[in-house]
Amino acid sequence: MNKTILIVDDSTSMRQVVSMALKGNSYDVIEAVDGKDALAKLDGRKIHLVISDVNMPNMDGITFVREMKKLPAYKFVPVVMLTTEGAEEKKKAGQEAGAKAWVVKPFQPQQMLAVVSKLLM
Amino acid sequence: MADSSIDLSQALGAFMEEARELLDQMEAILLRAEEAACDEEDLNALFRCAHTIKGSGGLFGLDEVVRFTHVVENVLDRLRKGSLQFDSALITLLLECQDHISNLIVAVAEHSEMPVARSDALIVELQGVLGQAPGGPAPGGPVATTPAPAQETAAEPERDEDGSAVMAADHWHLSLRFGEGVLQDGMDPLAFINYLNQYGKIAHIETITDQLPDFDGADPEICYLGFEVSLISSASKAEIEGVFEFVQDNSQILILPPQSRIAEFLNQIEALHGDVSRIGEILVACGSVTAKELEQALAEQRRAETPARIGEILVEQGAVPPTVVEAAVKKQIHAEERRNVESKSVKVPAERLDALIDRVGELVIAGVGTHAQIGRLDKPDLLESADLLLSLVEDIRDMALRLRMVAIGEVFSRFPRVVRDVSKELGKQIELRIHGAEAELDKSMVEKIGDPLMHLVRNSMDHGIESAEVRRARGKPEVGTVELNAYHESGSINIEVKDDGGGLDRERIFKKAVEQGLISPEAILSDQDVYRLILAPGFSTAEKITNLSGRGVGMDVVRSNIEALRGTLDIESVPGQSTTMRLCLPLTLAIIDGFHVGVGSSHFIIPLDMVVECIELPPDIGDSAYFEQRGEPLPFIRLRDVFGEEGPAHPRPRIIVVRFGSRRAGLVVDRIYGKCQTVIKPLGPLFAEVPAVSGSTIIGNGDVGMILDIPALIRHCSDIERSYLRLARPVAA
Amino acid sequence: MGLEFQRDGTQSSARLTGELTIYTVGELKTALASELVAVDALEIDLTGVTEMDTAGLQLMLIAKRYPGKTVQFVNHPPAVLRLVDLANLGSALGDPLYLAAVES
Repeated sequence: MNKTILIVDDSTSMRQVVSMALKGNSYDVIEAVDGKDALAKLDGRKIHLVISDVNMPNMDGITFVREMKKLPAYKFVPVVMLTTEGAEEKKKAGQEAGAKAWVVKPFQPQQMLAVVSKLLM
Repeated sequence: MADSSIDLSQALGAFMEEARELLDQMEAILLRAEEAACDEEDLNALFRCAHTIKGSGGLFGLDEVVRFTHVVENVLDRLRKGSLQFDSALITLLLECQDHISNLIVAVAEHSEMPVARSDALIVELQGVLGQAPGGPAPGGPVATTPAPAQETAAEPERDEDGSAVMAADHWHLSLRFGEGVLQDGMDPLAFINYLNQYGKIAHIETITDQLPDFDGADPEICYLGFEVSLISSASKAEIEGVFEFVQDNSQILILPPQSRIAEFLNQIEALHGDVSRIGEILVACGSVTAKELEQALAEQRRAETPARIGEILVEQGAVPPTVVEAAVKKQIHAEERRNVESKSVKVPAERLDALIDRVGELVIAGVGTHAQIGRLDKPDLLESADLLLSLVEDIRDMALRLRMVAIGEVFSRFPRVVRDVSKELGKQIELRIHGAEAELDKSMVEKIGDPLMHLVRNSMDHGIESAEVRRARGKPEVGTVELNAYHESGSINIEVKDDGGGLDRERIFKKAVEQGLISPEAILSDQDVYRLILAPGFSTAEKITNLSGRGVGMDVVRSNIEALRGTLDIESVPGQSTTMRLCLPLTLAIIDGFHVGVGSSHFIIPLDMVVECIELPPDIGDSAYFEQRGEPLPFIRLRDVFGEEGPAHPRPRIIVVRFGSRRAGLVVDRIYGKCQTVIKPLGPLFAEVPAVSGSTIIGNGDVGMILDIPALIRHCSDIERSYLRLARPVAA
Repeated sequence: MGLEFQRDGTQSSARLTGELTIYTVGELKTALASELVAVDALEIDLTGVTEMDTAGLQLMLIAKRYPGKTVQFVNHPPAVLRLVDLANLGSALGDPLYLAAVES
């Protein structure tokens, strides 16, 4: 059974590159354009991992993770945060919200694949 | 299916950009290598460029890119490892390869046929360098598309089958105690351990259950398990540490390199547990310590009066060389240093900055509008606040624009290669000097000045710098010099292309211009004005000039490109000594001071720096296309006609006199609103068909205003002007 | 996740289905606790387990530690065997690991 990964990013090309890399490695992928969209797309589905941008319109990544982790079915989903900033405060807030894995953009698709396969067996 | 093909092409775009950056980097390093020996970092970077292109290319299934880059990568790997040295021929070959990879990627972008034959030819040369027989399996043979990491790990098991000697050398020991909350964070310890297989082979695992409470006391969501892992791997410590990067904070991750496996590990494990015999068993089970070594160490400990740590004992016995302990503390310091370097610059996607600047622009407009309304209220206190607010908003605008500034070095960096190639082509020795590469200008400008600069540089090399014989005869150094200088001056950036060649020939230019009917023989012109004639459309002094840029475009195209950026091009020349082409460009294209006018129901914006004056249209002008102003002819056009505005015309229309470069023209409008801050937005599809408009903006009351493309409008008038120059000037003189 | 017990005197057996992961271990432990109070031995059939992680594996160890009771797991599917193997806990758990490992 393929594992399902939710990608949340307002950049289309970013979503596509990551999504393509993951699909090419037998992961199922759901894409969302921002935090609000992502919450809507959860829809009770089993999600094994979330990859989320921090800065997004409508609902930012940290708020999204905080909201998602309130839902029992998604309480323990590992979250990979994509960040372009060295701002430790954002990272701290994100980690408190439950996002423990941080990946600095830009990254290679293979790097993301490596991160995902570290987190998902 | 349609959707997925769009996905592919768009994501490919990201790959292309990435590949382009890497190829630029490759080129820069190779050119540096020509001057001086590369350091290790450069060689590694060079290898990584090819490696990454191959890797990403594989991700997109670009087999030809992968096949070719793979061979290049092999050569770069040899260079990196020192088993191959740079020489001039190899640099030339690698530059050709870099070009070829670039061509392959262009072919992917354009869906054109892959230049496979060229790949094969270059592969043969590369294999010559590698010392392999050409015609081996690589060209035309089965394509090796396996990404490198897989190959590296695939090599591991073979090595460990050789026997215990090799195993011992590659034998890592990991002691892992995860934080209590690790499971609740969604992190799965066994997933990390499983990932270690990417770097080698797990020889043995002991799961440590000592901390596991009884049934009643156990909270199943808390992690009580620990793991002792013995790993056979040739990976680096950083790579192995990287596996646990996301759980470092609350976990104790001890990683012992092969050389220090017994003593170091015993020490650290003991610090964790203190149960010596149990650790001993684990280590023996893992193959980290032999039973005999353990027995001896334990016996030694029993004999000692004060119990010493097993680790120390082993070191004393000489069973283990005392190696450097890379403690966790040290690792943390490293991480800190890395973070500091990273935080010095932040890479932000261009579209995000564009979106910010767009919004800031609207903020400025709204701010100015609000300020104007408050100004009419006669409330001094409120106005004072509004003043402050507006000045803050303008500060933010300036800061936001500065965010998009990039160093011009980004453009200059392609020239060393150009100068190298063109001088070989021309058989001249030419040196390039670059000054002011750190001067900044807007990213959008950087993208657009590359081609004009390329023209100017090639022009200088081709026509400016004399042949070596002529230079010798003139007592100049044989090696010619082309300089690129950039510097800021009052809100603009100046970029100079300077050569120490023969200078411009005033008499010859003047004569040609007369012959071509551009000026009258009686015209009295300054040196500057004469030099500027070479920028006129259709001007040419020599047969060679059509070859200027190698693309058959003249200097007039360069000039109009620069003017389209609201820049100017000046020429200075010292006969026999030098020629300087000086571009003066605004720092940004995003926000301009505009002049707001109206025709019928439409609003138009003219860039303020192009406006000379406003005058009333003489009532008796009729259908004439120009009129006399202070004894000079001024061609003019009615915007009403250009934009097909209907409805009643203003009884007393005005003329806005605009200037662009050396030319002037009048634009007839109905109303004048005055100065305004204008944020240029790109034209939507709605306006794509409208001529003579370069962008749109939102004006204070919320209406859309169109930004006039003044150069285009002036070109519209240019036939009139030229026929006037030809016919009227001799009469006037 | 599903777990239904079938009691036969002091013995009980159950089939566990679905996930044996961090999401289900809390609930499972509670269910095991109430059953183990009443019986001496419990046999859990894992055939229907679709997914397992470290938390799931740890719960197997915790269940084994119920004082004075015998808990045995049988019919390990590939998803479970893989982790038991990786963690080298086959002998520590002491359950019969049929030849499923070889077959898969």
